[in-house]
Amino acid sequence: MAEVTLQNIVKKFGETLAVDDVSLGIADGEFLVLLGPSGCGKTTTLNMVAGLERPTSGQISIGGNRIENVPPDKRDIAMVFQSIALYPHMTVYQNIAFPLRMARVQKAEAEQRVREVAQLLRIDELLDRKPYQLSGGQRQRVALGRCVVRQPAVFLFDEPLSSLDAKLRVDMRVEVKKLHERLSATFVYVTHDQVEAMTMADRVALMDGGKLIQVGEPSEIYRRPANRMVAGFIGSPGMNFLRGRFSGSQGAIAFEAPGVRVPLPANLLAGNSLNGADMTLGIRPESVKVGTAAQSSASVEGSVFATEPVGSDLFLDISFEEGAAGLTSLFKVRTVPDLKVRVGETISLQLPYESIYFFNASGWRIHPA
Amino acid sequence: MTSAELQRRWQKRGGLTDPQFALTIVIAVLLFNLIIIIIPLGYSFYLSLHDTNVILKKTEYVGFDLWAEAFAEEETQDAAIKSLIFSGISVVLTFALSLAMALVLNLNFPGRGVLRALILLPWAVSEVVTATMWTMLLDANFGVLNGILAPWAVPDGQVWLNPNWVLFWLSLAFAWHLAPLGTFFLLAALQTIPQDLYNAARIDRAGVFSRFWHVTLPHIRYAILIVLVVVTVEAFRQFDLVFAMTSGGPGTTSQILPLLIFRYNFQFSQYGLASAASYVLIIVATILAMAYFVLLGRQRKQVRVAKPTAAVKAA
Repeated sequence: MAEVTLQNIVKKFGETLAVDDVSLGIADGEFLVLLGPSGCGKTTTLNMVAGLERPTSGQISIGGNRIENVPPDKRDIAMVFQSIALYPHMTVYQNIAFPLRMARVQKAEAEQRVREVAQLLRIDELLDRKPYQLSGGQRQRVALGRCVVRQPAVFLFDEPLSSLDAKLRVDMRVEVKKLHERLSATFVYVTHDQVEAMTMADRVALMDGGKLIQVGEPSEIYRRPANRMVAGFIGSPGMNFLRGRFSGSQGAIAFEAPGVRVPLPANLLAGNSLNGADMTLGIRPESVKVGTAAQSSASVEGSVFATEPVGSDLFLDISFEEGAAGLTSLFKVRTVPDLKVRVGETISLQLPYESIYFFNASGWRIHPA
Repeated sequence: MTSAELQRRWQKRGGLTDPQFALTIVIAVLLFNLIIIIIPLGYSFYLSLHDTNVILKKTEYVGFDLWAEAFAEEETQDAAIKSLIFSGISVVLTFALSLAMALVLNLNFPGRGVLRALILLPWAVSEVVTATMWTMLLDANFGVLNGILAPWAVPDGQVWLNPNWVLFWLSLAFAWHLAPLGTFFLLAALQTIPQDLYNAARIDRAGVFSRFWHVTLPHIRYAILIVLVVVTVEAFRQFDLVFAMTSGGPGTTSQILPLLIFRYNFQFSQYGLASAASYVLIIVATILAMAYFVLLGRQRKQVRVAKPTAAVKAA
């Protein structure tokens, strides 16, 4: 069994706190994605599981055994690096066989295992090549092969797809996911790409500023983001935010942000104690509807600042503040591609109550509870 | 083409095209080399084919007789063997020292910047100064080495530069002088090795020696080749250090080829013989340098672009 447990992990580089009290349990055979913006401590966390970094404090165990002081070669792990890190002077075959050679596996057995893995990853035609004779995707598969051949308990991935072009990345995503299904080993995968996280993970662990913010299944992270950072990070594009306050009372409360007033039913938020408090309203671009008043939604008006057709969809950038359309305050709306709108036109938008989120002044979600 | 036309073309093109520029530079360098290398080499070759009598101011064409004499002469053979021994020990010592220093300087420790600068110093010191220093270190009567070793029952007045050991001590002085240059080349190569390769190797269960063997060495093999060629050629044509330290002595026990050539030329005025012996030296040094390329460079031949297989074409 190869469950991975991190308990109160802290990592400091000099005075800098890179990982701040992270506790996380990863089940045997689970595909866990560590997601976060660059510099959030996700790679450092992975390196500590790999044994390339030593935690300042805290405990790490794999399969129930404490490993903080165990060197990487004795941890029963394999790792794919961001830079791929194939041995440049070795052939594909030698690269894949290298861990077996180091473990003194019999030549015949090693050869059989290398060939099996090469077949699995469809690189059996390339075994005599050197890494520089391979394309990006082929190199990626060789790096995967070098891990798979060891049959480790835990696979670690450090942004392995970030060096590939967009099309190849999509293909490799599926390939890695299929590989996980086939091997049923524990995968820990670091990425800053939320699409990768959402498409591949059993569970996503979101980090920010060295802290673990939220752990959950992709759908849960998407539907119930713990705070503004998660809500803005997940989704493409991320959630829209309006900073403002509540006003009004009994039966007619509203959320007021610069240039826009969102009328809300009184029972949406328990009590009116939030009156006057700094608040952020959030709603996903795909939840907003274009058109006139509908049932249980708030109706607002804004002007079209720009349009972004992507073929399958049309994204509208709405600005509520006349003239003060800073790019950061744009409100994105996803709509049907054949909608006819002109830039500068005033447009009616419906915000369904069920899709509205509220975050308090420190960014945590308070609605829906 | 008239000069006016040329002028017009020049202005029209705004200068030289790339191939024209390249040719200009290459020809200039070749001309320069012709003057400082090819002509002296040619003259030396001419001399090696002529017997010169300085007193009678007579020059007589003798064909390759002097070459034959240079090969047959016991003195030349003896000097050639001394040269081979000296170069052999020198290359081993210099290379080992270079690599060791480069590996240490590649580590992360406080003050390595200063140390990197300091370590180049021996190379910056002139060979005559190096020779003077080592002579004083090794002197039988007032030498530092004897002074340090005195408490350990080394006989007073131990002569280190004795016929049996003189080539070793000369090689050591040579290594001290030249190793920093090798360190410089090797360190530069070491710094280009990506850290991820070492991390990958650690996770692949490679120990310290395996990592050195499978990651470090393959990465710096061409730097190693350059260092070996430079050191070998330097050792083979070494003159200043040996001349200043022992002048080929005691007796002729450290009379390596360049020293013998010097004596032929300047003491015995046998210009032809000196030139012929010089050619022997050049030929041996070239053969040695080529041998390295054959030995270390052989993997290069395997580095060819494989024909794309059907599977690759499909992918």
